Amino acid sequence: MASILDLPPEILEDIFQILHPNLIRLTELAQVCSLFRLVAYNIPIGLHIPVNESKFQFLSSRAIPITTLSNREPAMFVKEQILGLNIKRLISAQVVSNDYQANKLHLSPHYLQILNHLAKWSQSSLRHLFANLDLLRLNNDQFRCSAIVLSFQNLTFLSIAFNRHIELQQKVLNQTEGGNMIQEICAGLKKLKSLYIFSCPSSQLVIKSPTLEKLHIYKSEFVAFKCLETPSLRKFMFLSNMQEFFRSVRSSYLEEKSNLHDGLFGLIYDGCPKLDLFNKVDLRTLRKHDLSRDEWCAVVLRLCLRSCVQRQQQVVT
Amino acid sequence: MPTIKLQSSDGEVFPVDVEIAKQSVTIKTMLDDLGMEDEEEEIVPLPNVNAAILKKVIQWATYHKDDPPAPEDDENKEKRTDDITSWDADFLKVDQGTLFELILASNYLDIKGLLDVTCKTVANMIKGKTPEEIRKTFNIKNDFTPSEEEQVRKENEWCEEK
Repeated sequence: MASILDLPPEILEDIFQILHPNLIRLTELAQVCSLFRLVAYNIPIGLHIPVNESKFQFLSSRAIPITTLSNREPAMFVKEQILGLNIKRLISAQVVSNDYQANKLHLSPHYLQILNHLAKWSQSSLRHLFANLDLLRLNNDQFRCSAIVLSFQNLTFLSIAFNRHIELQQKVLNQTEGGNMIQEICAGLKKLKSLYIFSCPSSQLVIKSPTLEKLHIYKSEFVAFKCLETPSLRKFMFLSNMQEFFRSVRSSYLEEKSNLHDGLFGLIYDGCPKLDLFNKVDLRTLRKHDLSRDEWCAVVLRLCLRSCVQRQQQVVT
Repeated sequence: MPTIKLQSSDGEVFPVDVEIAKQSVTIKTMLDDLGMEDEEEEIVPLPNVNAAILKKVIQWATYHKDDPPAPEDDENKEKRTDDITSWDADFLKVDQGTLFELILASNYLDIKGLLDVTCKTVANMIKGKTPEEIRKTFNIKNDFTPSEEEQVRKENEWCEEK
């Protein structure tokens, strides 16, 4: 009769993976026998950087595959660790550390090294990426960060963060680089389902994606949309919440740009036929009614105002 | 309902509904590729599965014949060990030899549902046990030489630093 040692290594690997072992548990499994050892050190694990030196030496010498990686430390201090890991099976990378040069506009060379390393080794495996970006162009005129992001062709989740300086620079100089880069990324990632943008550096944002289902925009002072062509979009979170949304509408009104967000509902009507939620306001019921564009926008505005007032009342009580 | 005949490695023949047999991707591919579906007298040989195990596999496939197909993104979903149904749990109350034979058979026949549930059962047997307890549970011999033991101990020193 068969025993556990007769199972093919890939089945034993599946069994170990079901246990979601951490590294300590893997080392325990590895102590059972030589077959267990062979299989255990092939199980991918999640890792928070930095790790202590002896643990890093172990991970590096045994080439333990990493499946999820997260780091918030400055790249200068941790890049040697990240560069020394086996990330060929990496699925999720969270490398957000606001790691910019002194001019605050360009990513630090250390941080860029990490992004390039991910692009080299995890190009086809990576599904989720959280990263800081800048708007610098390469000699061939391509944005260097979009070149990196677009190398991950299997991404389904992307969270990109810029910083306030980049956001402000684009606004003050009335530039469109930020919008162009985001548009390039959305068009190029064919499997993207969720996009989060922090400090969005564009006031003429164009998002076109047949696959995008979730769009969240946070902490963005000057963001505004020019076009939305997202036929699969189900959830749209704009500026964290409804209060923030109306605060932004008001400030743009005071700047005598009253159309800043007024046109947004029209863009949604035109380009997001499947939208279920806008800032947690449920729009599904509106589909039953055959509303014209203007009627739909007016109803949505009322729903949003009601939601905002309800939230304020809740805060007061 | 059309049936086919599956022949085990020890020569026993089992008539099975085609739809039940097709839960095995291996059998489905054979039937599709060789156009055997319409030939009721044709026997499908399964040289890697003995009669006792094939009988169990057919029993499992018959019970699960109306299960919905697994969703496409199931591969990426984290597996759990506590979602085995009571019928499956009872079905898998067998000796270890049979359990591992079932894993090998479901792997060979490519029956994902059966492979999942048998692997989860083994995972539950490993869960929370020390290396020594695992050896004892599965009757595994510690095959490390003293020098390999020393190497393992050195490699794992970082665990003790924590």
